[in-house]
Amino acid sequence: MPEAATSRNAPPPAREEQFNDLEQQTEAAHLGMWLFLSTEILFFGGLFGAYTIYRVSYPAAFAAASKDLLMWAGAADTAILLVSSFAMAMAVHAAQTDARRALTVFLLLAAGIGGLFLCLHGYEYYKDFAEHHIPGPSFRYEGGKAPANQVQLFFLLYFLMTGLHSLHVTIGIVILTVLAVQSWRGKFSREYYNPVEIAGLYWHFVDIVWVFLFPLLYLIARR
Amino acid sequence: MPTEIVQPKVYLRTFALLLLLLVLTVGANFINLGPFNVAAALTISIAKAALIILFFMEVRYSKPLVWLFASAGFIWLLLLLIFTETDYQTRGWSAQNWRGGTNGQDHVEFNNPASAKP
Amino acid sequence: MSTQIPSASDLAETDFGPPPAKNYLNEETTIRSWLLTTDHKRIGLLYLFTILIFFAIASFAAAMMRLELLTPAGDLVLSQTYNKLFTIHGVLMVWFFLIPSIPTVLGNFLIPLMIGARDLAFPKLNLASWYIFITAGAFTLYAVFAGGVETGWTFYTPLSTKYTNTHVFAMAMGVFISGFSSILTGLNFIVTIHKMRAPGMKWMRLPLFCWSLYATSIIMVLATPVLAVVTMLLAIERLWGVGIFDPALGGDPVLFQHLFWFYSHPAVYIMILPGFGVISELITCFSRKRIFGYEFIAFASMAIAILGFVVWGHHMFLSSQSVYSGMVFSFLSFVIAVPSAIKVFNWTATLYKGSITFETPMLYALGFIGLFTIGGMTGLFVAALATDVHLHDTYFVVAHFHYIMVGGMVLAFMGGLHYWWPKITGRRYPEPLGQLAALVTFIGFNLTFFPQFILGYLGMPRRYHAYPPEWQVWNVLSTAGASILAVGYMMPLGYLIWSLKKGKRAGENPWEATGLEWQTTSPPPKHNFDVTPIVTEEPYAYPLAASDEHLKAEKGRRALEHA
Ligand SMILES: [Cu+2]
Repeated sequence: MPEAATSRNAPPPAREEQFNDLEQQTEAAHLGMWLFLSTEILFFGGLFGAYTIYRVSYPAAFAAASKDLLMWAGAADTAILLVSSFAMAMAVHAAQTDARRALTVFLLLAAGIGGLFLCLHGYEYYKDFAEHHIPGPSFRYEGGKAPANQVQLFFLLYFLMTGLHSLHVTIGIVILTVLAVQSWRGKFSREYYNPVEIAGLYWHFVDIVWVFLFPLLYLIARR
Repeated sequence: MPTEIVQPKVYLRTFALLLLLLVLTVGANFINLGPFNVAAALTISIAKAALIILFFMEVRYSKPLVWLFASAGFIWLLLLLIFTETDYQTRGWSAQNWRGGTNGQDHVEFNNPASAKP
Repeated sequence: MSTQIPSASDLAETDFGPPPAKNYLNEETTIRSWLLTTDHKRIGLLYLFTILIFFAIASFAAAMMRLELLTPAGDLVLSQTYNKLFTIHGVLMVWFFLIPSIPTVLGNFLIPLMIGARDLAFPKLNLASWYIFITAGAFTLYAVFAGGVETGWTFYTPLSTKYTNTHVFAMAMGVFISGFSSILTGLNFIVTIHKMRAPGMKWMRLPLFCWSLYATSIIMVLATPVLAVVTMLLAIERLWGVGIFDPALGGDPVLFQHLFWFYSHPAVYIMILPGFGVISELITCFSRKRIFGYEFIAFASMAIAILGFVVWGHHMFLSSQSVYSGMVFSFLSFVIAVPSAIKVFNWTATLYKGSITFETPMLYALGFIGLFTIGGMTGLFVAALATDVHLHDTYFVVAHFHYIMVGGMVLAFMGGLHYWWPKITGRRYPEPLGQLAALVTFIGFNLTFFPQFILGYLGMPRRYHAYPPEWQVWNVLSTAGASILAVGYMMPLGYLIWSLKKGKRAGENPWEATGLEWQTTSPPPKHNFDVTPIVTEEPYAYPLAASDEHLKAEKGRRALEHA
């Protein structure tokens, strides 16, 4: 009997007792995630607000400082995150069509490419460190085109914004890896794949943040 | 929560468009558009974000309530940006209008050595 | 239904039978079952217990300050100790009592009951937010006992980042963490109200308490992250030594104020909107009359929540903020008085020709209306650009916001706690003692804070431990009032605990109130309702209609029924 086969592989859908049915549970989880993402927008928003104020106040210093960032690395960061987002979207599709092996693979792929992002960004941080661009007593700026203190302010914002973003990427990688393990153990099915979609929303959001960070931090000055 | 299953070709097209926009934004960095540099960069970013939200995050296929929830955060962020920036943009006005009076202090240049002109 | 209108006090003396054999309180009784519970009712009680501890500590700090101000000289505590006292008072009262008070205690307990749900949408998240709250409290109490902080609850830079060597880092972390508790609570409420309503519970049948908490939750979700980021930046600046508010880098300390008040003005509405919700329930119940202008009250809550986000600059008129920004913020602050006034008018219109009785919750509710009106009107004084130059940072501001926070929110919290006490515990508190406590609180409150309006008008600045002798008489009055207020707070603590064991049994619906929460047993069973209720009518179907016309129609209908 085909039903017996599916019920052996997939555990019964996990409806929590406060919900009447799975649909209610899924919709609630989606709304909850969207609300959480709204808070994330405003969490990053405080930093974007500070960035706006200071960039408008010190356009020359921000342009000069931005030239010291590796634009090609920033572009590669963006491409990497876009590929990872695409893999995540495909993971959701795999879950919807009950392709469990594909789901596991795509989840691992999304997480792995996220790891690549962290490596590349780590390399950029290393370069900043080597060039004494970490704000603080050891900060140096020899360009001479702009006041060093304002350049330092730019780098401070750069580290705060990308640091917070990288923290989000790290959390996302952990979540996706956990989901991949669960998927490999057969936790998800066509009826129940809510966590995959929810994690997907979070992962795409992290991508969106970067889509704004890239031009605002790396592309201020003309080259 | 999407009301239908989105096909992979939709994801693939979205992905291709996103890569195209990335090339565009890097390319625009080599052309000087003057005051429109920032506008161009932000427009491309907003287009990218919209693509991700509508297709990857499947808002395009979701109920109106999801549209509302997805836009709320951005609207509130705009409130924050507009009202704070308004303050910084208008701080200098009074000083310029009434320069020479008792209110000659210019407030907008907070500790900004670069713009401290004689 | 008979034409005789039953009064709530008729039922007060009746002792109903024993409570249901199994309810949420006695189903499991181990400590572990409390600490790992996901039942929204139990989590509400966990919060109640926790915030009362914070309230006690913060009140102690206030008592010390009032004692110091008894004499003009700074003779009881050092000026720095005084700074630490008002910081403790502010931080604990704002983030660890007022903001969580009604939402996490009454909101947690009542929202699922009022909308006919078995629990909140995310019960585990609900428990997690209590643990986050506890962690935040631990950080804050560590800062207090390790030596305190002298920045005031506002943490203004550069004092907080550069010029103080007190425990700002730990306290900022406490506030940062408490924000996440608040965000998760708000998120849970919004999703619950959207998705968990019982069949027939349309939006226009939603109790006004739920409407007001929905509006509150919007603020919690959209404003609190900005508080989180600004306290995070503060903590980083103290830890790292460089920060974006540092003028040495070209940073602007006033930017801190912008981000801080982007949260902290809406937070004022986190503190008062739930109070509005409670008062709407109490006024209509003890007038035995349908609420006047249900839609207006509901939408006024939403209007306040949204408008509340664009008035924050009225805290910064004297901070080098642009005067043009100041004008916009001042104008918008006047605009937001309109929906608040709409609510007051609707409550008074509900009282009009009602069959009013004066049980304890109603006394608190009536006190609320008066005191909130005074607090709101004096808010217009400080929202006006010119008068604020004189009143800024004086005791006038202190008196103004205490009329809102204590005269408003605390009275609403006490009123709500008394009103739903029978539902929460299954027991009744002693009514005469309750009425006396409400009266003592009202008198004590006014004696404490009305003199402060005068002091502020005379120019006494806030946050100083010494003052010129000619202001002593008003300060003595205020301190005397504070001791009466303390009695008003202590009394309920005593008789409510007493009533847990000795109070009369409440029965399902001791106030003859409408609303789903009164249709289940007291205390309710673990999953609230044995059968999911089906809602077929408006929330406030009390015997008296909202207007004469309705009343006539109702009489006609009854006449027909009798014929
Ligand atoms: Cu305010």
